[in-house]
Amino acid sequence: MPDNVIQNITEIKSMPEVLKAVEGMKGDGYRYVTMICLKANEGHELIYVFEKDDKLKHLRYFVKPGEKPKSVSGIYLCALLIENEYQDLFGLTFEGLAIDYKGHLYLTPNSPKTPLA
Amino acid sequence: MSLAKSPWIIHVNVNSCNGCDIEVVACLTPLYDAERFGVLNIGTPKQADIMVVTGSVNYKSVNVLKNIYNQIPDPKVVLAVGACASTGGIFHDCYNVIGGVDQVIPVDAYVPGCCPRPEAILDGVVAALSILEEKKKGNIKGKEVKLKGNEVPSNA
Amino acid sequence: MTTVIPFGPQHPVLPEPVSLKLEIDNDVVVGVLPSLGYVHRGLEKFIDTKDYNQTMYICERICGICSGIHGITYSRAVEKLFDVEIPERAQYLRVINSELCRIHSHLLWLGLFADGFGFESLFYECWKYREDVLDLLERFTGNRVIHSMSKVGGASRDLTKEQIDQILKTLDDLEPKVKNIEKVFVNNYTVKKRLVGLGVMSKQLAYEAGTAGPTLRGSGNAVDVRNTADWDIYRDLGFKTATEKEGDCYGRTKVRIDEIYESIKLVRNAISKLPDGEIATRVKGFPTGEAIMRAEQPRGEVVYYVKGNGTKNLERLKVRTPTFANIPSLLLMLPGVKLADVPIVVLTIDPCISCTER
Repeated sequence: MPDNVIQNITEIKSMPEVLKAVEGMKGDGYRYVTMICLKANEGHELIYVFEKDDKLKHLRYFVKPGEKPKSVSGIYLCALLIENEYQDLFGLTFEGLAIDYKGHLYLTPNSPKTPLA
Repeated sequence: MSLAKSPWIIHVNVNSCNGCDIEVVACLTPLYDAERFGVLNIGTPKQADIMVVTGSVNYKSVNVLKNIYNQIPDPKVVLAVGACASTGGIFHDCYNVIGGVDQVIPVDAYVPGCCPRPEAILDGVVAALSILEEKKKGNIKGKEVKLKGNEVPSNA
Repeated sequence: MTTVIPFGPQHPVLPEPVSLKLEIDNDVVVGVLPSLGYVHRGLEKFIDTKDYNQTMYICERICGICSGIHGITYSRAVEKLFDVEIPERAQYLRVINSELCRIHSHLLWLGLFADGFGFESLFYECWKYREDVLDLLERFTGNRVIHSMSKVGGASRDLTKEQIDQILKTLDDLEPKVKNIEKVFVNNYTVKKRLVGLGVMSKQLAYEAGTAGPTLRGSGNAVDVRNTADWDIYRDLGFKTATEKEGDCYGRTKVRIDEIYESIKLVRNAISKLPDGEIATRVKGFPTGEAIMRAEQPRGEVVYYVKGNGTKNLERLKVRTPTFANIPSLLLMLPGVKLADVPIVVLTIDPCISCTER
């Protein structure tokens, strides 16, 4: 069985570098597609997906346990929904969100907390 | 005057996948034409007789459902359309799903199926008509459903 | 002095619950805050209890309007994990199913949109024609709404000669009918009065806002995942990407009408090239690795991310649906719009809230 991996992916080590890379993407005319969040070694793994001329490009970043990743909604406004979603579902906290629903985008105070975490 | 000759319905989507919703709307369009039974789809609960509910109930939509139910004048009939509205259906063990509509408000008739065909929904509406007529004769009032505090958070 | 007016969750124009808090100054919108969660079920958690074959049926129920394409895209994503090549006939059957879904979805939207600006007879007309397509889908897949035509490894139903004739005949009848409603949408004075110049998004803005589908193409960006999306069949069949320069509600409407014609052509081409043979291959074992699969839904680009860990359950399933990408564009389009025009602008992104929240 082949070992499937996502093609065209760059791993980035620190959060300021992520912001710099995302800014560079916007400068190069990439469209923000989505961000994927996975559980990985106690922490979380974020995969940013961008598109240009029908080619996808990915950035991978590992969030250490307890770390608060920075929001990229200041660069791409459309990132705010997906980041709010992960605040709800994984209990992450993104700093500097354009609109912060504080974990209540989907969930109410009496619904289950961080169901995917 | 007979109420069952011209029942007005309000369609409420609480947590549905859209499948039942488009079939409810399809009932009102020329091929199935619910208007031949005098049925009129109305936007406001204050003028409705039959409440057509699609979808299972989740934690955020529960208060919307109760609010609309309380605003419908008596006599009123609730019709749960689809497997989700009846029992929770395929989504019954999702974390954010409370269950069928009857967990929250009293339901008078159920239409099974995922999704029910428009013919089945029309059947359900016609079944609801006789219940509506009975309720009017017996002067049966709907249960007042209490809202438990302000469950919907303010997203400020 | 601004007033906050809630729009939804129960609103006559919207068949689905979505809530927008509109800040209004003198009847003009100055700020928008969308509030979601009324249709959130949590389907991405379902992979813990359902195996990868059963998940296909869950994915179809993400949304009842584009259910066919959800199922097909999920199947293709898992097939990518297994690295299997499915029979060519199954691929063509999937294209036929996808394009019929697109025709019915666009007719549905045109109807709801006409209802949104108060053109009741046009609404009935569109939905009457849509029933023809639903009849085809029912003959083909056995159901009107949830099709379950695709499965991991191919298609679960084949087309017979009679069904193919039926499809061709219905499409021949449908084309002049669509031309009829197109005349009204494109030329009618009242329709144009409501739509032209409303909710304008420039080409650059639509691209940067990360929108998808007709919302993006209505602003002049020729982005259509069917052109690439490592699915060669669409390139072989050949089709024209519909775009409009205006970037307003009128432009987005015209894009959708043009797409109906393109879809009709695609179905005809696919049927003429439909190869003989098997419709499914057996897929054995459990998936490993990770894969991203994209497809063009009626509402725009859908992105599936699947990750397998060598067991029968997937480790992670993530779906980015088109409306999820289009909702932020409302934050850009609505300010400056009159309160009475808000429903029309909201409807032009073709909101599918059950897709958005899953």
